[in-house]
Amino acid sequence: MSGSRMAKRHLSRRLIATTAATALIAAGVLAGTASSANAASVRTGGTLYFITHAEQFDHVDPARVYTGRDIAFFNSYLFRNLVSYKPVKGAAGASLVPDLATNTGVPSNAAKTWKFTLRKGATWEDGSAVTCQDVKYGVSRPFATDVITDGPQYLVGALDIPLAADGSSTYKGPYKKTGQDGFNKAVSCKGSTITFKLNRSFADFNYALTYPAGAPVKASKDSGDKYDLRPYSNGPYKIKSYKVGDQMHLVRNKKWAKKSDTVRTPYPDDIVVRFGLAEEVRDQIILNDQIPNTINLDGLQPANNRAYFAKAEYADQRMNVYDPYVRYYAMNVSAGKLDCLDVRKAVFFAVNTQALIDLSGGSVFYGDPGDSPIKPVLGLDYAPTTGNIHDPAWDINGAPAKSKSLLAAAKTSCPTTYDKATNPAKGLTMDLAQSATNQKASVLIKQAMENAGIVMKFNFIPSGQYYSTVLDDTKQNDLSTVGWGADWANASTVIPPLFIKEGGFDLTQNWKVPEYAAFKTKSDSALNETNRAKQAKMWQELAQYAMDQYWIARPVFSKQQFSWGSKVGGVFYWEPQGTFGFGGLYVKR
Amino acid sequence: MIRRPEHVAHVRELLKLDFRTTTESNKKNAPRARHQAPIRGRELE
Repeated sequence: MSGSRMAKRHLSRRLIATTAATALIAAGVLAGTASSANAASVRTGGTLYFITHAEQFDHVDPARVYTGRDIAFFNSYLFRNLVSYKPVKGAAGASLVPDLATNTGVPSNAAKTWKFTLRKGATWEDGSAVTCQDVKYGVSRPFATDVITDGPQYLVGALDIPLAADGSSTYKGPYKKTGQDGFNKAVSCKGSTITFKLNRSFADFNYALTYPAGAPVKASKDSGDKYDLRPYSNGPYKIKSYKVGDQMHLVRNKKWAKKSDTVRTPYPDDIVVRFGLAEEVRDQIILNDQIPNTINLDGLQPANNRAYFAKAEYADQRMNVYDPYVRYYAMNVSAGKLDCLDVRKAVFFAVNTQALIDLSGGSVFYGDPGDSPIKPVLGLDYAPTTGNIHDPAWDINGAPAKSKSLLAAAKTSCPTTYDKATNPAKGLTMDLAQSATNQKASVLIKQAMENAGIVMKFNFIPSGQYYSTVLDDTKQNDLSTVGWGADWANASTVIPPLFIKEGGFDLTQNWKVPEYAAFKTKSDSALNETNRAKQAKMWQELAQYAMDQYWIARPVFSKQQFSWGSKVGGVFYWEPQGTFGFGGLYVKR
Repeated sequence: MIRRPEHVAHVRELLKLDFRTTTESNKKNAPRARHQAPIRGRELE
C-alpha cells in the first residue's frame, strides 16, 4: 500500500471515529489500562516522586506555563483558577467546574462581558484571602510582554483595551503601568465579583480561564522574572524548594482549606520532582519497578518503551493514548530562512516518515501521518486537506525525486535559498530538543534530506530551555520541531496561536511575508464569527492555506505513552491536557 | 498548549555523538547528566 493511501486510510478511520465527537477530548485510550482511583483504597500520606531527564520545568510562573503537562501539574498542586476542568477520566474531564469562582462564569452583551464571583475561604500560603484584586493583578501580568514571556495570549488578545499602531496592546503590564486606565476599564472588581469586558463575542472565554495565566497572583509577592522560580501558592501544596537541575519539593500548604476547594484531592504529604536523571537510569527505574512510588514525567526511550509495553505484569502501570497534539516541523519563512515555497515543499517531500515511525517502535506508538495543523479529534473544525501527503508524489518513505524537481525549480525561482539549502558550506538548520531519541532521529532526517540533495544541520537545545529558545525569533533556525494541542474544542486555539504573530506560538515567523496580511484578516474574521458551522469552515480553509504554503512539515497526529511504578494509585488520563490527572495520584501502601 | 519537548540525552549517548553532523552550539548545549544513581533509598516509601 502506498504511503499516501495508507495515510488516507488512517485519516478516514480517525475521522469516522471522531466526527461525532463534539469536544476536543474524544481521544481514546488505545492500549494498556489505567487504574482509577478507588475511594476505598485511596491512601493519604507518603512521598510521590516524579522523575525526568529535563533539567527544569520550562516555566513555573503561572502566566508563563503553557506546556500541557505542566499546566495540569501546577493547577493540581499550586494554582487555583476561576474555573477548572473537572479532574476525572473520560470525556467528562473536559467539562468545566467552578474553582475559585462560585460558577463557571456569567456572560452577557453577546458574550462580550463575563462576570465571575469569588467563593469565600480561598487563601494564600500566609492565610490571607484570595481577592478579586489578586485575580485582576494576575490577569494584568501577561501584558508585560518584556518580562512575562511564552504564556497563553488569549487574555491579552481578547480584553477590550485599545491597540497601539503596531497591533500590540497599549497596556504594558503592572510593572510599567503604561495604559493602566485602559486595563482598569476592561477588568474591574466590585466586591468579590470580577468583570471582564472583551473586544469580541467570546462564547468559550471561560475555557481560557482554566489556564493559570488567568490565575490570581498576590502583587506583594510578585518578583517579576524571578517569580518563575518561586510562585506563591493558593493550592493544596506549596514549593519548599526548587533548584534547576536538581529537584522541586512540594509540601502541604497548611493554609489551604479543603472546604474552600471542590476540585482538588491532595493525597501525598510530599511531592518531589527529580530532574536530570540520565535517560537510561530513568528507564531502568521504571522497567524494573525500582522505585514503586515513582511516575515517569517523560516517555521511555523507544527500545525500552517497546520492552515495557510488552510486559504483561505492567498492564496497570502504563497508558498509550492519542494525545491532543499535532507534532510538526515549523518552517521559519522569514527572509534568509526558508523563504522559498519550492524549497519548503522539497523539505516536506524529502522526509522519510516511515523511518521515524520505525524509530518510535512502529505506528502503535508513533501515531499517523497528518495533513493539517488541526487534529481530527477537533471534529467540526477538521477536514482532510488536499496536496501535502495526499499529493500522488508523496511517499511515506520519502520522495527524493519529487524534492529534486522542486529544488530544480527553486534554482530559478529563489536561487539564494536554493544555494543555502544545497550548499554543504551552508545548509538548513533544524532546532531539536536534546535527547537520545532526537539524536537518532536527526541521523534519519539528515539521510533523507541528503537523498534529496538538501543539506541539513541540527541545533540541539536542552529540553527545559527548548521552547523559550525557539520562541525567540532571533534565535530560531530554519525549522523547529514542535507539538501543539488545541487549548479547548475550537480551532480558534490552533490557527491563531500557530500562525498569527500575537497568538504566542507562531514559529513560522510568517508575519514577515506578504501573504500574512490576508491570512490574518481571515483569521480575525473567523475569531469574530458567531455561527459555529461557518467558523469551522473558515478554520478548515485557513488550515488548507497553511498547508498549501508549507508553513509546517511532517505533521503527525501523535500518540504518547506514560509509565509509572506499582505503588502509584489513582492514575487516570486527563484528556483536555493530555496527561495525568495529577490531583488524583496517591502512594499505595 | 505546547507539547512537552523530548527529554535530554543520556550521557553515554552523548559521548558517542558524531558532532560533525551538528552545529557548534550542540557542544555548548550538551547537558550535564545528574542523578546517575537511582533516588536514594532513605527517601523511599
